[in-house]
Amino acid sequence: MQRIVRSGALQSLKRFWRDELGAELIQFILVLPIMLGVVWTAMEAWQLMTLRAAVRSTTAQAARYMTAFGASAESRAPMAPENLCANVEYLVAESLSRQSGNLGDHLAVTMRWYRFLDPTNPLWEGNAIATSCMELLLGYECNDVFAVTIKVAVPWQSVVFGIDYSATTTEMLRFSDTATGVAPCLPHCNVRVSGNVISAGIHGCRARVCWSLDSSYRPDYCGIFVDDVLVHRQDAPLLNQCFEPVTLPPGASSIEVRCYGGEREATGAITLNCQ
Amino acid sequence: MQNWRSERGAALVEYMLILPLLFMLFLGSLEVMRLFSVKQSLRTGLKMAAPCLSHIHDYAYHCDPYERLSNELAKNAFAITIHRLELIPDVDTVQHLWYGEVYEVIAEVEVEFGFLYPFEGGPTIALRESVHTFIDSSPHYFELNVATPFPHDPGVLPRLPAEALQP
Repeated sequence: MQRIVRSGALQSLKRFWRDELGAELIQFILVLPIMLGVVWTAMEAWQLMTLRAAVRSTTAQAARYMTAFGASAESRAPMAPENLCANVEYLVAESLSRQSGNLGDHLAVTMRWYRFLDPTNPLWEGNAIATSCMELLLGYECNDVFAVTIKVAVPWQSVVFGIDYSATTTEMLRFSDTATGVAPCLPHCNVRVSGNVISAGIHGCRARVCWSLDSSYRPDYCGIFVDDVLVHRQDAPLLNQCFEPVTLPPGASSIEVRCYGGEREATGAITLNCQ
Repeated sequence: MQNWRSERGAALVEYMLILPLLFMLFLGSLEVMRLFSVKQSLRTGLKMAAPCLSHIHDYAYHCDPYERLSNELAKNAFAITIHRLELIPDVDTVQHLWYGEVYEVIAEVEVEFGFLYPFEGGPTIALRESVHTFIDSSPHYFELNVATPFPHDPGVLPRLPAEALQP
């Protein structure tokens, strides 16, 4: 009897090994971690690409902001350097506020500014010095080249799906991007005035007045003022131009040339004596 | 009964059962590719539209952000079944912002499924892109704007009396 039972158990075991019922289920269980891994990796890749794009876009916008408003303190630009730096920081913080790691952690953002000693040299080594936003704006001049680097760090959990177990590791994910910009050249116009008396009479003198413009734009017109009275208006003036005769009253006269371009006024003056 | 026990044609039956799933998988991947493409166009359109809003105070820089966005989407052959296209904020809202003010531009589009449901009136999916930008400087910001009147404009020039000019 015992022999018969033993023989029956052996047959059952043999039958179980040969039975193919459930084989597909086992195959599916074996392949499931791989499928889960593929789905998980696709989602991770999507999140990483979004994060990377956000960092790139933010860096470009920060550099653009500094290029648009980063005028020197001496200029007439109404944005104060401290406001400008605060606004750039706000822009960066706002732009990256919706990004997070795959555990929901917020990004740790660091922003670093660089000034290029020689703007014509594209090399960084020995040419770019790290600075702060406020320091960058000190002595900031037209066509100065700067760079901004934004670095983000966030805890990131990686999951490796195994057949019998899965392993997770958490590490810091770091991204950085750099964008360069140039200090804007604000419109400037310096007027140099020269002149001489051509002839003298009882009621006054005739003089020749010349101007020379060192200008980033062409003024719409220039006017010659003698003792604050307009005596000649020249539309679309040349950079170097003379006008005569300018009538002067006896004695010393203040001759001023005022040039207007847009809402900007540039002046230069000399004094001529009519004796 | 013997026919039921026969395994002839089993592979064909299995294949017929799995075919719709395979077909759905294939159409689904095409749909994802299409949505990616529309999203990329939306991104490009947003990048082209954003400067129109950023330069809103610059009289020399006229463009319609909505037109730019819709033109960019129109170039995409996959974006033919668009239901709603929205750009937030609108021009009127941005006009009240001042130089340097930071704001977010959002472009949202509602797209109908084209491959998975190739009939009209099917389900839709909303795609969204956004960028943080600011109101850019303009010549007016630097006080060099020809559109505004000049200060201290002397207007009509006073004429000097003829006797003042002596040879």
